[in-house]
Amino acid sequence: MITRFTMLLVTIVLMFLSDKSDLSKSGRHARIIYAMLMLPVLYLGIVFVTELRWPNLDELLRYLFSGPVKVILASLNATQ
Amino acid sequence: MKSKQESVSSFQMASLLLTFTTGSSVIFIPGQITNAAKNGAWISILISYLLGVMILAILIYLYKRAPELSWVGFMRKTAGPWVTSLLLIPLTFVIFWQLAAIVIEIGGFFKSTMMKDTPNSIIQGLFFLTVALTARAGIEVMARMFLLLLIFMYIFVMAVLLLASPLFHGEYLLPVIPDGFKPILYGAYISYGFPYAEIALFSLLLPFTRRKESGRLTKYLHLALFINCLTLVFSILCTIMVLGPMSGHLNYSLFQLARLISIQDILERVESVIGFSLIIGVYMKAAIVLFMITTLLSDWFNIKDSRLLTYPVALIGLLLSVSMYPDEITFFVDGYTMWTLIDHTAYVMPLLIIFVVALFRRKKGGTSSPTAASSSQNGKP
Amino acid sequence: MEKEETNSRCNDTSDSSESPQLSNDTTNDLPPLSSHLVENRQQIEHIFIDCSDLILLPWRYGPDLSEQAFSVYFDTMIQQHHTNYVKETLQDLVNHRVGTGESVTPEQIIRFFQNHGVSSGTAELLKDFDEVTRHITEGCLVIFFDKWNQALSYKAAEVEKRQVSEPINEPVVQGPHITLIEDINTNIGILRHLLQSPKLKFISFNAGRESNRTVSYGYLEGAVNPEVLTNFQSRIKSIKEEEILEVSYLEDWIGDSVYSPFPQVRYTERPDNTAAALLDGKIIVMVDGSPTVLICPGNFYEFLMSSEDYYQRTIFSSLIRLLRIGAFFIALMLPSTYVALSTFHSELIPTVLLLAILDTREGIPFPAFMEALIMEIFFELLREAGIRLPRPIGSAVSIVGALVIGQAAIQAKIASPVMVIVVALTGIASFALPQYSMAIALRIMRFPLMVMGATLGGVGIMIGFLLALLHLCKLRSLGQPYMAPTTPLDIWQLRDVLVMVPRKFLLRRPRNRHMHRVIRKQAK
Repeated sequence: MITRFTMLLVTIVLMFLSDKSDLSKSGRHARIIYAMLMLPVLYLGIVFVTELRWPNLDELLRYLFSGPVKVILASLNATQ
Repeated sequence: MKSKQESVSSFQMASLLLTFTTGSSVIFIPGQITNAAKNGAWISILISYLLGVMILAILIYLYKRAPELSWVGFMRKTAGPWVTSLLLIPLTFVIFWQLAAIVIEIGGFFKSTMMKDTPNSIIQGLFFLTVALTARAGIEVMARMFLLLLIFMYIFVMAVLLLASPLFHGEYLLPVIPDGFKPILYGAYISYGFPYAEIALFSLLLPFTRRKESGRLTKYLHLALFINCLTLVFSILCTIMVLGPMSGHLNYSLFQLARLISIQDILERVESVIGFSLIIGVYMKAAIVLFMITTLLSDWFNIKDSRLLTYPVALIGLLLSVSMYPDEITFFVDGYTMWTLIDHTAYVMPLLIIFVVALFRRKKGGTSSPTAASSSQNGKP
Repeated sequence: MEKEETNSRCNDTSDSSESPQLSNDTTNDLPPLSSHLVENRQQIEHIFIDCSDLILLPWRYGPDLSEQAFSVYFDTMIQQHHTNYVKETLQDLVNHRVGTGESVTPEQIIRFFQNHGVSSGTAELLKDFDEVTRHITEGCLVIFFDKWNQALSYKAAEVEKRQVSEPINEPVVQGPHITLIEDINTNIGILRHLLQSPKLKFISFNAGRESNRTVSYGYLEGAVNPEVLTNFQSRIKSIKEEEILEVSYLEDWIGDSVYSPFPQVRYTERPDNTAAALLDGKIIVMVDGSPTVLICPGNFYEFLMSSEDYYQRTIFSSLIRLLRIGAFFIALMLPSTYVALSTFHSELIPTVLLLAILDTREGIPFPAFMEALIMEIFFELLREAGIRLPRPIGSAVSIVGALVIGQAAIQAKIASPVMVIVVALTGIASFALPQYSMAIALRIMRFPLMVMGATLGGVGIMIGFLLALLHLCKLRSLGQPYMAPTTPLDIWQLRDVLVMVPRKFLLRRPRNRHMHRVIRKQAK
C-alpha cells in the first residue's frame, strides 16, 4: 500500500510540474476544469491505494446494462 | 475555434480511421467472432460492415452540414445546450471506460507473454505515459506517425497471413452456415460493437480536416472502412482455414496462427512480430481515443488548448484500468457481449438523435424547436 | 600553395575596445576626412596604433614632386607587387589622360576621380574615417591626397587561399572532384558557373562587430518555397552583431529545435551537392572563411542520400539506399536489441545461434548491459581519439588499439566476441551514413535505447522507438515537416526517397514540391 501511495504521489507531482507552465498561462476557467478532473483522480486514487471495493465505473455499466443484454443474448440463442 | 488551427488532410483522416478500426480489432476480432458464429463469421463482418457504412455516411453528412463547427458545437447548435450535455454525459463515461478497457486488454497481453513478473500497474502506467505523450503532440503529428506505423503493421500482418498459406485447409470453410442464421447474427452483434459502432466517435475528429479537402473526404473515408472490412474478412478466412474448428477457442487468433508458422526452421517464432503489431495497433487506438476525450472535454467546457487536459485524463484512465476489473473473465464478458449495447447507446444514439433533429430542422427551415425527436436517450437499439 | 593566412588581428587599443557592445562607440564618432594630409595621417596613426603590420607610405607627385600623398595598407594582407601596381596604374593614367606624373595637380586628380573617369578602375571614394578603417581592415589600399578631403581605395587583398582540389570529407568514386574553398567569392563564382541563371540569387550581409564576416545566402527563385524563404529571412535578420566564425554557428538561429539530437540542416563542401540542393528549392548559406555550405531546410531522408547516388546506375543506387536505411536501423538499435534479446527474450533467438552466444558468454562477470556499455564507451573513446591523432601515428595506433585491445578484452573475459561484433557492426553502420550529423544523432540515441532495452526488454525498445518516432514526426525544419515525403504522404516526391527512379523520370518533371505545385496551379 505504501508503494502504491508513493507511486501515485510521484505521478501526480510530475504531472503538476509538467503542466505548471501551461496552467499559469491559461485562464481561471481552464484551471477550474483541471481541478474538477482531479476529483475522479482522488476517488480512484483512494480505491487504488487502499484496494477497497468501492463502486466503480464497470459496476455502474454492468448494473445498467446487464438486464437488456441478457434478453438480447437469449434471443440470439447465444451460449456465451 | 480549433486549437492552434491543427488540420490534417483527408487522406490522413482516412488513414486515422483505418488505424482506429483495424489497429486492435484485427487481432482480437477473428477469434471472438469465429467463436460466436463458427464458419459464418465472415458473413457477420459483412453485416456489421454495412451498419458501419451507414454510420459513416451519417457522420460525413453531419460534418458537411457545418464543417467549421466542432462536433459539440454542432450538437449545441442543433439540439440546444441542455440536450447536448444530456447526451454527452453517458458518452463521456463510456469513452473513459473504453480507454481503460483498451489498456487492460493490452496489459493482459503483456503480462501473459512478455513481462510475466511486472505488476499490472507498471505496465499500464508505462503504456499510458507513451500514449499521453503521443496524444499531447497533436493530431497532425499523430496522423503523420500513425501512417508509417500502420503501413508496417499491415506489412507484418499480411506477411504472416501469407506465410501461413501452406497450412491452409480450404475444406474447413464449409459448411458455411452450420447452425442456422442466429449465430451469424450473434457474431454481427459482437462485431458491430467492436469495431464498427465506435466509428461514431469520429464525429469528434472530422472537424480537424483541412477545409479545402472535404470534397475527397467521403471517398477516402469509405475506402478506409472498406479496406478495414476486407482485412477483417481476410484474417477470419485465414484463421478458419488454418485452425478450423479450434479457432473459436483460442484468444488471440492471429497470434496463434503466427505460432504455427515454421519455414525451414529459420523463420520461427514469428508471433513476436504479430505481438509487436498488436501492441502498436492498440497503442495507436489508445492515443486516438485519448485525443478524442481531450477534444470532447475541451470543446464541451470551452477550453482553448486541449493539450492541457491530456495528462489528467490519462491519469484517470490509468487509475480506472488498475482498479476496475480484478479478474479477467468478467472483463471478457463485459467487453464482448455488453460492449455492443453500451457503445451503441452512448455513441451511436446521440449521433442518430442529432441526425434526425438536423433533418427536421432542415425541412422546417430551422425554426422548429429541437424537442420533437429527442426521445429518452437510454432507449433500446 | 596550400597555406592560408588568417587576417592578422590588430590590437586596437583605441577607445572602442572598452565598449564592444554599444553600437555608438568612438568609431562612429570619427571625424570625416580633412583636407590636410597631416591631420589625416595623425588620425590614421591614432586608430591603428600598435598595429605594426600597417604600412604608411608617403609619396609625392606633381610639378617638382611638390604635392604629397600617402598610401595606407596592411602589409600582411597585400602582396608587395600590388602596391606598386596600383601606384603605377595611377601614374599611368595620369600619364596618358591627364598629364605626366610631374605635371598633374591635385585639382586634376580630384576632378578625374570624382567624375569617375573611365580608367579610374575599381577605385572607391571614401569620405570619413569609419569607411577608411573598414576598407583598410578588409584589405584595401587607401591613398590620401593633400588638399583633398576624400581618399581613394583600391581592392588589393590577396590572402593565401587553398587550391580547389579533392573534397576531404566527401569523396566520390565518380563525379566532379572539386570542393568549395574558404574564399566566399570563389565559391559564389563556382556556383554561378554551375547554375548559369539570373534566377540564382545571392544576398550578402556583414555580421560581427570585430570579425566583420561576409555571410551570404542563396536560393533559386522559382524553385524555393516562398513561405520557407520568408521564414528563413526572418530568422536570419537578427544576426548582425554576433561573431560568426563558422557557418555551423548559424544553425542555432535557423534550426527549429536546438535540443533535438537530429540535425535540421545539412552541410556539404561539394559544389555539385550545393547546386543540386539549389535546384531542389533549398536555401544555402555560406560564410567567408569557411568552405562548408549550410543547406536548409533539412529533411530526414536527405541525410541518408549522397551525391554519388545520382552518378551511378538506378538499380545500384536503389539498393545502396536500402542498405543505408538498414544501416540506420542497425546503428540505432542493434546493441539495445542484442541486450534485450539475450537478457530477457532468449527464446526469440534461433536455437543454434543462442547456443553459440551462450557459449561465448561463459565466464563473463558482467551482465550483457554492462558489457555493452563498456564496449560502446571504449569504441566512442577510440573514435574521438582517432580524430586527433597525427597522421604518422594514427594508423599504427588504430591497428594496435583495435586488434590488441579488442583481442585482449576478449581473452580477459571482459567482453564476449559477440558483443565485440555487435559494437563493431554498429560503428561501421554509423560510418555508412553519408552525413556526419546524422551519425552523431544515432550515437546519442543509442544509449537511452540501450538503457530501455536493458531495463524493460523488448517492450522498452519498442517504447523507445515509438518515442523517437514521435519526436521525428513532430520535428520541423524551417517550418517544413521533417519526415516528408513519407508523412505527410506525397507519392510524387517518394520517387527519389527510398528507391531511386531512373533519371529520366526524376529530371523531366520539376524536381521539387514547390515547382510542382506552381506548375500544377498554372496548368489548372
